Amino acid sequence: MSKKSMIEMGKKAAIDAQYRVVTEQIGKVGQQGIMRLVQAGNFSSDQMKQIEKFLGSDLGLALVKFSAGLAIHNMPEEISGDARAARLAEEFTTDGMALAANTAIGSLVGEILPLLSGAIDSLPTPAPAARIAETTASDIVSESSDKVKGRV
Amino acid sequence: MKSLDQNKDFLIHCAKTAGYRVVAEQITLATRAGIVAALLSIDSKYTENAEKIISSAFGKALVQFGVSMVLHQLPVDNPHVQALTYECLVSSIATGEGAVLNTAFSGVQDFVKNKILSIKDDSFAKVQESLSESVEEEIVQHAKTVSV
Repeated sequence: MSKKSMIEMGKKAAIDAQYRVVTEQIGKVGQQGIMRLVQAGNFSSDQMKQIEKFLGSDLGLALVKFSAGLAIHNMPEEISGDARAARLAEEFTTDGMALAANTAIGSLVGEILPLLSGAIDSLPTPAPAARIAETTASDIVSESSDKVKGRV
Repeated sequence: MKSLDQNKDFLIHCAKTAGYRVVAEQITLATRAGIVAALLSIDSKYTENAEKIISSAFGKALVQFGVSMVLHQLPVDNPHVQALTYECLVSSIATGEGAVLNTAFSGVQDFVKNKILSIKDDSFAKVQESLSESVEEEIVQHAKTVSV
């Protein structure tokens, strides 16, 4: 597989970047629109407030993008058959997946890893067990050497 | 509506691309963190500005472009590395463009919002004025009738 030149790659990348920028902007507008719809309902239950909070987060944006991508992909052939629509659907879905994964990794690194390291630090050290193993090993060695000396 | 198999193929294709995108994003984050840490260790007035630039969206675009250049120069002929290089390049262009658009539109959005708010305030003030005038007239008329 031969390497492409940077200029050649840049030309193609510029076109792909346009789709990504459009996806980003439409995703944000879509998220805000859904948030407004939920807020306009004036729901008082805690569950709806949780949903509202989730929609406002990065995972909510990822869900909006992913859903939009699948929706465009499953539209009638007249719309989804268009090359631009197909590319946009792919971009929406990919961006939704990537955003969700990045958010998950971010929370893993930022919150769960310190918790895990704290939990590991709080575990008792295995020093006594190691000492027992060392002593038994040395005993065995000394016993066997005594036996050898006795034979000699 | 596409069939289940078509949707499955589509999602698998998207997941593969998303994998490269996630790796590119994590490499960028790590590189940025490394550069910022290196800058913070140097005690100079110029490093503060450099750190601010690196931490901004333009800095991110710059780092992504740098990473793509470095990956491109690697003496490796691997399709995964090439895909990662391309992903970093697309990300750098998209991040830069997004930053420009956000900067441009944030000013326009503020302007439009302020205009709408000022229109609302004016109309409210006018309604208040007309109401107070009519109430005053009523009070005067009532006082006249009482005095008569």
